Amino acid sequence: MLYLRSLVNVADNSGAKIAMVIKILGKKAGSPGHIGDRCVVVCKEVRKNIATGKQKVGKSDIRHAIITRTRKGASCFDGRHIKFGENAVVLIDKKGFHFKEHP
Amino acid sequence: MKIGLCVYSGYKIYPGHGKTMVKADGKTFTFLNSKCERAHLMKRNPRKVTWTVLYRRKHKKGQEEEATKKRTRRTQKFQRAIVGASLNDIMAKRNQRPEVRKAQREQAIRAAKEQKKSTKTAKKATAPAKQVKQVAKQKAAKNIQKAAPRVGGKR
Repeated sequence: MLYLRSLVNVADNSGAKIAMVIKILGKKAGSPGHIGDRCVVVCKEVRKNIATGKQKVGKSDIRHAIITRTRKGASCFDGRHIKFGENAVVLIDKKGFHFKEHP
Repeated sequence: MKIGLCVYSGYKIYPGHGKTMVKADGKTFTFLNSKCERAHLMKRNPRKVTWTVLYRRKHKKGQEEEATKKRTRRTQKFQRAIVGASLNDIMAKRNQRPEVRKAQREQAIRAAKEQKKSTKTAKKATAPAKQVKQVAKQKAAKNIQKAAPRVGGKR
């Protein structure tokens, strides 16, 4: 369950390490974000690209993201329940495509 | 339809039951119920918790004992040569036919008897009176011993 100011891991190769959730899109104000929800995040920690030296995603960049893993977990309609050991998101561009360092 | 096994207790997990937990390092744990989940999170070793399958396996509870005990290892006999007789001599003696053995025995008996006869006749010629007295004394001693009752009752 992710709210405003929740710190999450960034689980892709965009370069960002840790992001902070600013807004959960498509839901009532104050309601939590679950797996599969779109959100707006701020990149708090960023990895350096050792190979090129460039940085596609910089610190305090505001990006959209999709929540992929939460500690709360999710329930499937067939009765399965799964939960993860961390909260993680994947950065996307505004059109909804996966924001990758290398296309 | 896949029936999973609880990682903690070892029980079967039917569809619709249980929880899966994926840790940050990628290890997956499937629990039957919150009892197992809580025990795992409390870091209780299932091998020490009496009702789990792991404990029962470790302490060999159940019917597995009977199957393993029936097998016993037997050492094989190995014939060796002794200082007095070589292997060939031992094997020759073993493999002798019973008729041959019997004949050998009878021969030996006959020879011994003949020896005894010859010695007896030689002794009789030298001292017959002494032998008779000795025999009489022995008989008297034996009689006395038998007559006396045991002291102290039953043993």
